[in-house]
Amino acid sequence: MNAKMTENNDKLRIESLSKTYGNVVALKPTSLNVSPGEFITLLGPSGSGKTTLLLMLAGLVAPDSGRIWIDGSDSTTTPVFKRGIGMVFQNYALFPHLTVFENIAFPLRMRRMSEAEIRLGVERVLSVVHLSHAADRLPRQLSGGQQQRVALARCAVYEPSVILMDEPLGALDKKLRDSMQIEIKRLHTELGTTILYVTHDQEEAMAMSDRICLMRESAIEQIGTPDDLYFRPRSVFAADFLGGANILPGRVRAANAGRLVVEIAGGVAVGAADIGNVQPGEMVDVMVRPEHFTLGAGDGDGNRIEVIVDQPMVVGPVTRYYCRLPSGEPIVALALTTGPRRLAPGARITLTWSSERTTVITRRREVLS
Amino acid sequence: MSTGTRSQLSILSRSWGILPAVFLLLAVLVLPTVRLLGSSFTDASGAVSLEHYARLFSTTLYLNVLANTFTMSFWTTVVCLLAGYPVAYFLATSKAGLRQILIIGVLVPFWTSVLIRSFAWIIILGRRGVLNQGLEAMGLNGIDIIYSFWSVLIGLTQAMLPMAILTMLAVMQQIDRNLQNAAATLGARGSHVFWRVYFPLSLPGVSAAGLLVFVSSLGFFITPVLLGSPKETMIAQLIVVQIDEMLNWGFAGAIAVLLLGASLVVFYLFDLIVGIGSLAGERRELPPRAGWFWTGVGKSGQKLTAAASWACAFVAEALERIGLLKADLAPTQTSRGTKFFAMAVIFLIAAPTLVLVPISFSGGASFDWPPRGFSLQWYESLFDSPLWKEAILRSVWVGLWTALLTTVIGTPAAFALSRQHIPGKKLVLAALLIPMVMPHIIVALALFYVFSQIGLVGTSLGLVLGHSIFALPYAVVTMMAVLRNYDQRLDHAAWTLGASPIKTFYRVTLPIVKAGVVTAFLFSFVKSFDELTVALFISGGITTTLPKQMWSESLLNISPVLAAASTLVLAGVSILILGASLFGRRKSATN
Repeated sequence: MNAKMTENNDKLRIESLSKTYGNVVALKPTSLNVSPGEFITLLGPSGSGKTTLLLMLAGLVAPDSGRIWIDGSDSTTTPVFKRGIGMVFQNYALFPHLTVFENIAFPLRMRRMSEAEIRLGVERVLSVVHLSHAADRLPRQLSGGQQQRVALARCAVYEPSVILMDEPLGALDKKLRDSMQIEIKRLHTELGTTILYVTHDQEEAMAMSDRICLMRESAIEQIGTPDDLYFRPRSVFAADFLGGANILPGRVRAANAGRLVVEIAGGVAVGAADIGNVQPGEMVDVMVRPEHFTLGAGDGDGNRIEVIVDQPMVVGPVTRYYCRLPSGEPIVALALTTGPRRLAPGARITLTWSSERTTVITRRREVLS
Repeated sequence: MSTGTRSQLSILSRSWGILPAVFLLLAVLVLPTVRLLGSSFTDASGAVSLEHYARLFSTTLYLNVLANTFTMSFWTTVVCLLAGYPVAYFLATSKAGLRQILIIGVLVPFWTSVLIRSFAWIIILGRRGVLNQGLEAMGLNGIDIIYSFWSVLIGLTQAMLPMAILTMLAVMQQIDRNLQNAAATLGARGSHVFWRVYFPLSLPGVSAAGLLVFVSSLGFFITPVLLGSPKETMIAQLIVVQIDEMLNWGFAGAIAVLLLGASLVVFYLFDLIVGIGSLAGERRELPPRAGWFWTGVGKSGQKLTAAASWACAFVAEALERIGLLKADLAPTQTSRGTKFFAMAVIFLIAAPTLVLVPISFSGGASFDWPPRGFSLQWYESLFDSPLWKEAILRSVWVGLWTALLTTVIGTPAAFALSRQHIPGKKLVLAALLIPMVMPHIIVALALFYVFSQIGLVGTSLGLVLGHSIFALPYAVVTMMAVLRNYDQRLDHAAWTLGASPIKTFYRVTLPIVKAGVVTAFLFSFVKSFDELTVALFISGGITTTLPKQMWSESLLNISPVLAAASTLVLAGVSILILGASLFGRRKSATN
């Protein structure tokens, strides 16, 4: 559009945004860029600063420092109602005194649209969320999933440039959550909006996001695609937060030709992909996902360890084997549940896995972008 | 529930807790009221006759007084809602710490008798009172408003404001703060956030407060007697005159019927337009097959609300745009003007009564401001007089027994009402709350009528029974509020751990709800200690209570003795209410 836009086509850009309540740091100076149409998730445990960041973007909380750009224009001090940002609240925040139709019409009325435009707009989004039949009902006459869809529709109806979602599926049960995830993804593609999504559920984040921004202790821990975070976590915290992780402390024995050799407990040498910037002799952690183990001796070139099975546990399609190394460290391995027979406690087995599925995590905390 | 007898038995075993309360209500409220109303339809010989009603409508005198009562109540309601709403809003939206401090300024006056607060207004509004001296000190002309419509309105408004605020606050605290944030993110500026989202949601509280204030005002007599002239006579005063001076039961009963009828008409109209359920915080739900007329009334009510909210929103928006209202506030922020106004109203509710304290230490012999010199003579004469001493002891004695009785009866009732599904639960709850909204004078008159026939007038027992009826709703409501937060799974856990139901009650339930029981006891005591209307009729001769003694004295001679007595009551009530709220807070903090 204008020169400014071509120069910088981030949908949303925040720079050194920070917030302190009394002597509690809610968010350390944080920067983040979001591209148009991106679905980005702020993932983290409670108190990690993700909701504070979201509220500052919405304009509901004023930052102590830093700037916010929306569509290339500085919006740091723009009042909430002029930001044109959509927000879906955790408990939906539907107006209990207004019908579904009037709830959805609310943002359009605030924008002084004509009655005909309002009717058209509301009917369109109602059909998108399959609730055309419920237009005249009050929010409390709807189920949780329906209320959720109204909240989405109310947000989508005025086509805001960015939609913020604060744990929107937190109150729903597992089944409904799964179908709503698909619904939100569908809306995202159909409407082509940019979505900033807050959750503490790693599966939800993995399933829906283009990028995940993992937060910890009021700062960004790591930011990247779900694959980045899952396969190349840069900290033990990140490895642990997204899925199961076996963390084995060790020392780098050799680093050459894009390959690392790390010696773990019991003198076992483990091959891993080089992550760069690691020196021989350095103490590191080796991370292996439980599902990357193969039970029993596999191909000759992979890594292998001997373990003792403590307790097999069938959790449905997969069986989780709680094991330990001879030196005592616990190891969890995951295998498909192929039949009713499984390894008995006390059995000694060999676990093998490829060095490509071995991630080395340095213990140096570096500044992450 | 396999057989009918078993389910009947289980209903009985679950609902026995409300039986004592129901019995008390029937014996001390319903039966006497029915008998009194019956007496209004009989003549002196006991034959059925309409002579009292004929007299009532024979001149325009009584209807004029009724009209006057309605006018006064109407304006009291209007001012209470307009002044009380910002206070309730401010309290509902301020931080918990600040709210707990400010609400004391509303709660202590709520529990302090209107009698004492009217004395304070005499000092402030008098011709040479605090107000006029202040005006003159600023070089302005004094105003002569004591013993006029304005002084009665001021007294009534200040008396009713705490109740109006607390009722609206209860509803506002239920409003989800996120709704305002949501409205703002959807593009609503401050004016629209308030008028189109917050205000409609707070309306049930406003209408409930309006109804309570209006109906309570209808039965007032203390304020118009002390602060008004004959022109401001209200209908309850006529009842007092009929009994005090003529002992004409039938005619007093007929006036009571007029008052009761007026109250019922107001209730009926309220239910028609707003729905009585909103008193208990419920939202109006039109029955699915309501006739076209009711649907129409309900719908047009909604339309009217929507239109009014819409209009207000645009006026406010215009003010915002020309800079008279701040537009850049966060959606849940309260403007400085609202804060200032709310603080000023709380000051006007809480502070005026305090003028009685310096007067009580006055060296002079009148209610003049400022007090002349310092002396303890009024306290001395208070404690030297056997009449006053007797009255104080009587009030404490009656208060303790009333508190004991209502706690013993109210606790099981609250348990049954808040935890069990029992038939007619809503009806029982409504009946229990009647004494809160029914004009006290009617109940007092009815009790006098019945008690005089069985020799309970002039006895402490009569006073305790009468006071219990008024204290019971407060005790039950307080207890139910505590029990609502009580997790019944704790009982279930205790049972599975081997405790019998009785042991569970003593070892688990009671320790947790103790705060509620103690608070209910304190509130009941204060209610009885402060009570005048019932005492006015029931306490005869030597068995006078402190408020009754103050009332009698004030009709004879307004002297600083009254200020001394008021100061004592004020200090006592403040300590008990502060104690109750501190006790409740400490308890909830440890939970």
